[in-house]
Amino acid sequence: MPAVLAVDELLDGVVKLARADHARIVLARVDGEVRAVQATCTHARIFLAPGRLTADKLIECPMHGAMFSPLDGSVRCGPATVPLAVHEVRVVDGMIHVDPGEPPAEKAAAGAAAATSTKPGARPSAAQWGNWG
Amino acid sequence: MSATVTSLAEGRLDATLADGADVFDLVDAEGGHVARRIYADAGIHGFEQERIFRRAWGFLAHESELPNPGDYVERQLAGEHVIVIRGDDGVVRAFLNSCRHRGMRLCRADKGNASFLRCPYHGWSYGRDGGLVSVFAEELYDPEHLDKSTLGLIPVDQLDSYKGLVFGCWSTETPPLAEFLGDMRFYLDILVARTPAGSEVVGPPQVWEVHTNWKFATDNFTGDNFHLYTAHGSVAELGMLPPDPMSLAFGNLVHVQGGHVLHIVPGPPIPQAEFFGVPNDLRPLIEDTLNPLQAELARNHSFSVGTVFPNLSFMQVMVQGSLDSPPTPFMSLRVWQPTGPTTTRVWSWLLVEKEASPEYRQATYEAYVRTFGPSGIFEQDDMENWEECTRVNKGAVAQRHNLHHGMALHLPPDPDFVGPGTAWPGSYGERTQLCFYDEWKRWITVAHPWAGERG
Amino acid sequence: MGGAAVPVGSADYNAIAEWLYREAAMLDRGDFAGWLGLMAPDIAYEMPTRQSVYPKDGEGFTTSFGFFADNYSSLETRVKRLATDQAWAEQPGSRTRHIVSNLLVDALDDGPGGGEFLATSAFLVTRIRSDLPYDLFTGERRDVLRRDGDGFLLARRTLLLDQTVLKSYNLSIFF
Repeated sequence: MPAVLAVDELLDGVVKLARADHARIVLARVDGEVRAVQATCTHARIFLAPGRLTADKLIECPMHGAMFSPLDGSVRCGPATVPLAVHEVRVVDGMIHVDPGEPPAEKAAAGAAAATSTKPGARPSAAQWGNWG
Repeated sequence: MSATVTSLAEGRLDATLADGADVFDLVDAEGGHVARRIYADAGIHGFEQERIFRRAWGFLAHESELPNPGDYVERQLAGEHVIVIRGDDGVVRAFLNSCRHRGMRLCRADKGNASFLRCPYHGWSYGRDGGLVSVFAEELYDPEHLDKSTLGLIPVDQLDSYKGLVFGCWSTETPPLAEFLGDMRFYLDILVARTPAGSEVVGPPQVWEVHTNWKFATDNFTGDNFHLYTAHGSVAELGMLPPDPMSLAFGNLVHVQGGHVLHIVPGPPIPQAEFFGVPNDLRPLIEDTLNPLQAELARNHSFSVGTVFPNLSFMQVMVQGSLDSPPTPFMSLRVWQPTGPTTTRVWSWLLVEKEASPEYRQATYEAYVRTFGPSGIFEQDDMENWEECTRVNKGAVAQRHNLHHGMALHLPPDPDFVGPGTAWPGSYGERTQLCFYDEWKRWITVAHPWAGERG
Repeated sequence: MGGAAVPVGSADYNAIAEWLYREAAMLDRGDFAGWLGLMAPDIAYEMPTRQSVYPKDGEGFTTSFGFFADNYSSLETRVKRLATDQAWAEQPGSRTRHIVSNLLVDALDDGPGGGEFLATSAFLVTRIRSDLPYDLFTGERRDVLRRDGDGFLLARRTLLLDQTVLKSYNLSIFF
């Protein structure tokens, strides 16, 4: 698991963006424990912002205000409906190591959507339209 | 007339109005002549917005209105919407309330607490420090077309605070706040920072709109002490003013370089009237906090009304809120925001010492709200006067005749006054009005009004 | 906030409605001394300031800093001031029209022989002076009326204005 950040550089309540190999992640320290979740909101796929956890110790997305638990990635407030992927964390010799894992489908879709939507003749997937209509 | 500032020889700005009149000729401080036109002219309003309000320091908020990170208020500076927000680092910042994308007004509430400032149009989101954090579909931007670091909220060009008073300025040419306020800081200390913890607001501002030119308000708050027995004759008749109309003529009129003006007036020779009438438990704190000259002025006076150029006024007065309550002091700050040539939005804050007891806090509030503010038994009549002065002064025939400013102009300065600035003896007089108008004229007709020889 | 609802059309409801209409008439014809006589000795008459806030932050009222915070004595002072002929803001006087509507009444304490009622109503007050445009005020009144003999006294009035920035140069009238 690649080393990402010195644990002393992540204070309690702080949220930071980082990279573990190919994975863009968010690190948060919750009551002393270091957690890592995917860096892009599952709603509009924009990057979550560095800063601080909310008063309820959640990660808030800057764009539409979705809130996620840094402990398990679960959605605590919409408009997101899909939880953030959680990355395993180990602290060894004062360094935070994070398992980059396989890129989850949502994250792949982010870059892919940008690439595919602008391809001439491209069409959206049924999944993107959900239950609409 | 042109909206751009043009320099003439001697640093004069072209201040010609559409009909060829020159603003320079509309005020003669030496001779005591003020043209009615300055209160009711669209061209002059334009010059004021460009040359005074977009260049001078303007009051935005009191620090105590933003106790927590993320707290914000929406205010106006030279008529443009500004968010004043406290960041996570504790620093108060101020930004044009406008998204960088399409200009959308970002915060549409008067106050609140925000984790992020989010635009409701396309979702651009800014942090509490004004930085652009998120752009929707960022992956659809070529990097050369989107550099978020250059797209943060537009900050007010200069922002600073003095003893809890947060000021902003839309010009980088204007000297820093400390220099702009100059010796007025001596008097501001006495008014808003006279105890160790300083003063705080009692609630949000009262805001109301009046069909008057803003300069009738400042004219009154330069230290017009001699309108009381007439304008407020109703309360005088009830015995809420001292019986002798000349009893309030004492004290001094003061002009501080920079166009700041005030009166400071003694009350009756009783201990209660010392230190502006504040409760005894606060008086030792005042003596400890102010310097000896400031403390001497505070001890010896009961009333002070004045204006920080251009449109921040204050009133420190003792009044009875009702016939059976004792005279009780209050300290109010005012911003007279010009919204047009003959319209003004009034913002009024009540301040109190942070160390004030709950009883005094309640008493000062009751004294204030019953006598001043839009329902106040004093202030109701001021509004009437300012509206009707403005209304009549709009007339072209009326404007053929100057207004009259002549009281006490013959008196030389008072050599014994202990505060900075020029002080004249007695508080009934029209000297401070003329000092204010002279500075007003200076800002409209001079490229660098803060520089050089001043009156 | 209230107790038992007092049905529309019941004797108590009608008595309260009539009281409110007569009070409004008194104000509109300038009988301020008479109006003062409707106030209980412990009257609390208040109008909070209001700010435009997002719904999650409530309705935006600040009751600790308002436009009115009167007791009997200060209301009496106001009435006495109007009786001098130097209250310029009301010389000549405002012509007002107090329209009181949407009345709902709750009994706060219906012990025998006494009792207080919470009367909630909507008000529309117009004010016009000289040849100037109308000033318009709307809002909610929360009144506590206390039985007094055959009638009522006003023990408390809270005026919740719809405006945040007042579009009027003063509040020289009663609401």
